[in-house]
Amino acid sequence: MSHLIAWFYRFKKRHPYLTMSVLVYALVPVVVGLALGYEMHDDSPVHIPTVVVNGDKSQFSYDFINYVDQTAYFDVSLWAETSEQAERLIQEGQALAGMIIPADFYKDLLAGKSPDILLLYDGSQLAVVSVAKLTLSEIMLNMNGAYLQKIFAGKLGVLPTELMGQVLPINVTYHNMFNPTKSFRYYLLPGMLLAILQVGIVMMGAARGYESRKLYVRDFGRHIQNIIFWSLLAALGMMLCLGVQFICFGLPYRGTVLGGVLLLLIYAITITCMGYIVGSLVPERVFAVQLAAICVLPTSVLGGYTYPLTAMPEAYQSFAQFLPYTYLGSDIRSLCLKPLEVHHIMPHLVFLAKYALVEILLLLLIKLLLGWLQKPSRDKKLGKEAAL
Amino acid sequence: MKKLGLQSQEEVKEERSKFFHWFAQIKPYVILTLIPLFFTLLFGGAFSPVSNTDVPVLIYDMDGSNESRQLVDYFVEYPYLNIYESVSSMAQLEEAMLSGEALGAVIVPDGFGADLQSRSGAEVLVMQDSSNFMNMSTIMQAVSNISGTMNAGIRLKLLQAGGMLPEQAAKNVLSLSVVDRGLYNPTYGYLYFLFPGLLAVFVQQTLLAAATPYLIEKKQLLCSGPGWRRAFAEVAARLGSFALAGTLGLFICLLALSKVFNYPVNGSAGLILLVHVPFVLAVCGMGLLISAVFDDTADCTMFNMFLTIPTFLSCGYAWPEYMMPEAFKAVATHIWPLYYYANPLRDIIMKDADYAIVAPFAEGCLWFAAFWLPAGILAYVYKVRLLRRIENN
Repeated sequence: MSHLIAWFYRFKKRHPYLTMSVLVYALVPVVVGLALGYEMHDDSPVHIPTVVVNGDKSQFSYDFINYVDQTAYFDVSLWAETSEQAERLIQEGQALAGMIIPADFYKDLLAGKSPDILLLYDGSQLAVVSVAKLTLSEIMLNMNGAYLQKIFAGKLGVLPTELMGQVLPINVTYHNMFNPTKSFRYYLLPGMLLAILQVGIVMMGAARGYESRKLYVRDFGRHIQNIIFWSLLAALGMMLCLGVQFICFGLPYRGTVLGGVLLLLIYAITITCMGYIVGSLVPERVFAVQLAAICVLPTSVLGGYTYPLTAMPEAYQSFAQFLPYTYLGSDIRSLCLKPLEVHHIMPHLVFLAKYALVEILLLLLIKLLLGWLQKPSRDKKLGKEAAL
Repeated sequence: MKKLGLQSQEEVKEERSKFFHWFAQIKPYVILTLIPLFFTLLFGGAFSPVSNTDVPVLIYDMDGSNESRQLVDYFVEYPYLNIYESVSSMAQLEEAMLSGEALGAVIVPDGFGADLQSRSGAEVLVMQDSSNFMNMSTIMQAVSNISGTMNAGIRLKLLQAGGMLPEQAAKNVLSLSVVDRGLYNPTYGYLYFLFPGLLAVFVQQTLLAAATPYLIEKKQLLCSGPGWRRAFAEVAARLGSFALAGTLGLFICLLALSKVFNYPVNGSAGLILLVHVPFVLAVCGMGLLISAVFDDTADCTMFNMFLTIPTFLSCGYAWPEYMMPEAFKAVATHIWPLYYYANPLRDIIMKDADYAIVAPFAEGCLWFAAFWLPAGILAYVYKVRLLRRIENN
């Protein structure tokens, strides 16, 4: 064992780039892709543990509870006597939703007293709430419709053929486009995986920028070579990570392949270059790497990928327009789920390309400035060497 | 003159090196206290609006009757939608949905008004971009509210026209009344939901960012030799000071959340510390292990930064614990401690959980630390000895 560790230590010293490159551009994309894909392979929260307080105990209420239980989304596994007990079960995390049917519910319903059913949701589990709320709303709508049919047929004598038109005068049909199964995994993973990888990409950029900080404008070609080479590796890493999702977990990809490749490539240049600039400016390697990561990490939140930009204050919305991840996150999810063509993402591609160009110009300016600032000390050093 | 200039250059160099030394000394404490505060304010500001507003929705009214215009008016007046009526064909509408210009579309077909008048039931088609859950929920809620209101109004008229008294008709229309209650987060706000988990990640990441560079530098110093006992005391004291600063950082963030964003922070400091202390021990163990593996501080920092999002997504916070495959949960809870911290922190802060709920997490985290902290120390000591041997050879 100790020989193996010693060998690895020496290997890493001899090939410092290789080890981290394999880690950042191959190992992390594969391992993280496999782990998170496996964790979320059920797609959406189903069998939500649900607690019921049935104060009514009529056949109607039992039928109703059975109806809820038989849907794939709820698992009525817990029963409580009071709403306090139900709330306690939710507080303990044993149940994530609750249904309180009051005493004499069915009697009051027949008497036209419109009794209330209380639905409880654990607001600390938004992924579950979003599914539970929509499903229970649909169930209640159906139940209400069934009850109203009885009223209209019984009390107003409406003919069965006219019944639906009067019970449900406006019938809304929902068409869930692009993600018909409402998969939480499709919604979350494509962009989140790239958000993880971009942290590594920017840090590698910063490390390379720091190592090349003594090369100034005269060697600008070397900087460009560096940026292109590491960006290519980064793009391959991102493709590998998404590839794991497509092959192992059936993540769809319905958009243009060319557009996707271009998007990842230009994005990789943008982020590598961002790190490179930080590495060129910050005089300490670790701090440069940390700073570069901090510049990029929050963009997975501020780019509106999970929490939409329309819900953020205007200043944040304006700021997000300058974050490359804003475009990558939304576009990569759209490319996976929508049959997009290149022209659909072209404005974002152009924006990212311009962004990368501005970064390269900025790097040129920085190198010019640093070279000019360092000139006296370099001249002095050369003078000393000549004197020696 | 030249000599003077050289002297001042030397002085500048010395000053600079003094500044860097001072900065290196305080950097871990800045990371532990101010960086979490900065991110708390940044993310808190982003999530502080409770509602998703201005969701772009297209309306394609093929009918143009009074009834359909009434429906359109309801949508236009609805506060959370941004309604456009700029399409004249289904192809245009689908293109707008595809390009993301519209996140939803309401299609009112030809004959909507006539169907409604003839009481044969009118159809409305709602297309929604379900690739983003938050927007989809907003649109569904809006459509459900509007169609529910319109349907109730029409039913009421029909029942009254059939000879039912207005009061009785109203009761029948609202026969099955449902009351929703979002416990611990009545507005289902993202801010309230996300922050306990974010705070847990802040504590984890800042502690790793502060501790691992120090441990790697110390490892290199230990290779060339001071006594183990003194070195152990030094490392323990430094990690202790990081832990204290991290704890302070956590409470500063909680204070900021409460004061700046009116976040209702529940629970007691004692309960928070009950899960915080074992977590800090566990993270120190993981930090020692990581520092034993990595010999380059920058590489180690990269690895640490990589942990941020995957550990958050796999700790049972964003993706509910009961949905995790058993094998995954077993591995995730045995190799990383965030599960024992993020979940109880949420339970305390949001749900005002008591000791009985929190204790199993604290106990689990203690067991975790009881294994991984000694394992980390052993790995670290082993690596130092190995490096000494390699250096000597």
